[in-house]
Amino acid sequence: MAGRHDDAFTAWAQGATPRLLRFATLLAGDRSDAEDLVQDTLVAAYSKWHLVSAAGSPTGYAATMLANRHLSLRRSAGRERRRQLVSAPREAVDGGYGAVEGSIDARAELAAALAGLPQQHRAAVLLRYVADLPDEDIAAAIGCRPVTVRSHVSRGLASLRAALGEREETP
Amino acid sequence: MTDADLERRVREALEPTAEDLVRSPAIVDAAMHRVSTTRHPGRRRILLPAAAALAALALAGGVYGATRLASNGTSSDPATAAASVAQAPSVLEITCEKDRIVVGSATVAASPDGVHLRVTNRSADPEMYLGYRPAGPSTGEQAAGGDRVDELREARVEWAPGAYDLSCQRSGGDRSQAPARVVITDPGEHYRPGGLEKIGCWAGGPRAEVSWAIGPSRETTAQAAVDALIDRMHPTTPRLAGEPAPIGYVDSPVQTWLLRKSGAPWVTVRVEALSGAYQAGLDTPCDPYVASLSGQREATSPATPAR
Repeated sequence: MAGRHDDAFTAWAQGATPRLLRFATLLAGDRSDAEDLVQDTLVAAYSKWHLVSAAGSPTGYAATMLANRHLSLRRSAGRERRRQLVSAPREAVDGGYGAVEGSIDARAELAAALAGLPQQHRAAVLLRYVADLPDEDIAAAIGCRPVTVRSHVSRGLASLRAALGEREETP
Repeated sequence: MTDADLERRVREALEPTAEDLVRSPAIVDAAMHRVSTTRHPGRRRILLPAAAALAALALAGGVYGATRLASNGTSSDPATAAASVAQAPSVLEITCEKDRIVVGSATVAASPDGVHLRVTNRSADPEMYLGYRPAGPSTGEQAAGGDRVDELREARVEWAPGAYDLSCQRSGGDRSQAPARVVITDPGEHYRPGGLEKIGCWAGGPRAEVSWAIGPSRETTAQAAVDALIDRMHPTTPRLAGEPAPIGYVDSPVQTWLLRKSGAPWVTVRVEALSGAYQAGLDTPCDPYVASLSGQREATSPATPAR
């Protein structure tokens, strides 16, 4: 009972998943959550493949689905009670790429700085750059107006700049 | 730091790492496994909140359903309807026409491996779906969902016995057509009633602790496939033990196994018989696992009420 679009979907999924996984890890701040999010997103993307494949950037479209799901889960009170991981981003840094060669590299620094941003700011910044998504698409994904997206991105980048500046000044 | 520098660093951070590249194939495999599971007619089920104690009512609902169908023109009295239940065919003929659904009989008898359908699409719409949902009181195990008609044709589904409303729907969600009510009977007692709760597994909860990207294993026996799956998880989830769960259709090529962690139900495994092999994949996490995460409850016993 194979679906008619299995081959096309699988080919896209194999190419897009590493990027979605990186996006999800930075967004969720936790490797395990990120893998769950990506897997859930792939399943959802399969069922909406006619929409995903028709998008200008299928990976960007999937990223908006992923961000939307993440924020929805974050809003869930039950989820909040069960998980308190995002507030402890060191796990993402140390357990992910930060452990590479035993040092915190520039990417991990940025990841740690991202983890310190409010959820909406972090999502807006990442969606802006994961596939150069327009503000309208980001707004739809995170549930706000396009003008608010610009505000989130602006404030998020300002916070990142401040956080990274502080680290660079620290001996 | 300039704006350009910051933008460059964010873009660099979004580039996949070596670990991402290594982990991704397993995530895709697991997602496709879930897709295939969901696409399977018998697996696209929603466990309704009604208690299993309503099984007797469901049987009454089945007879009621047949009676009601009969009153719509198939036959004229409850006795005739009851007789049709006893003589139910083993294959249910379903035809989706442009503006209505036609079923070959008001009842269908379950087979040892499930319920057999023969579905024909005469609507000229390739996006036509067969929708199904429990009619009347539910056993709590009955399936609900929809599958593309053109993918069904000769299909075996694992719908639990009981009364169902079937309808042909376009993918846009058109539900204007009147449903057809069909009763699945089980004169041969092929269906082992009781959902996951019967084996002490209260479905639900997050999947944070175990890496859900663990793909399915494939071996020559069901036991070996489950053991191989356990071996893959061993580094993070020690002391797992697997056992077949006596639920669903006895000869179904898809069987449920239960993995216990430190003696408590932990996660179910879907074991599928393929040509010359068995494939085992993680399926539904059990509530004690959630309890172990939150630390707010002790491990759930089978007597714990459903949420």
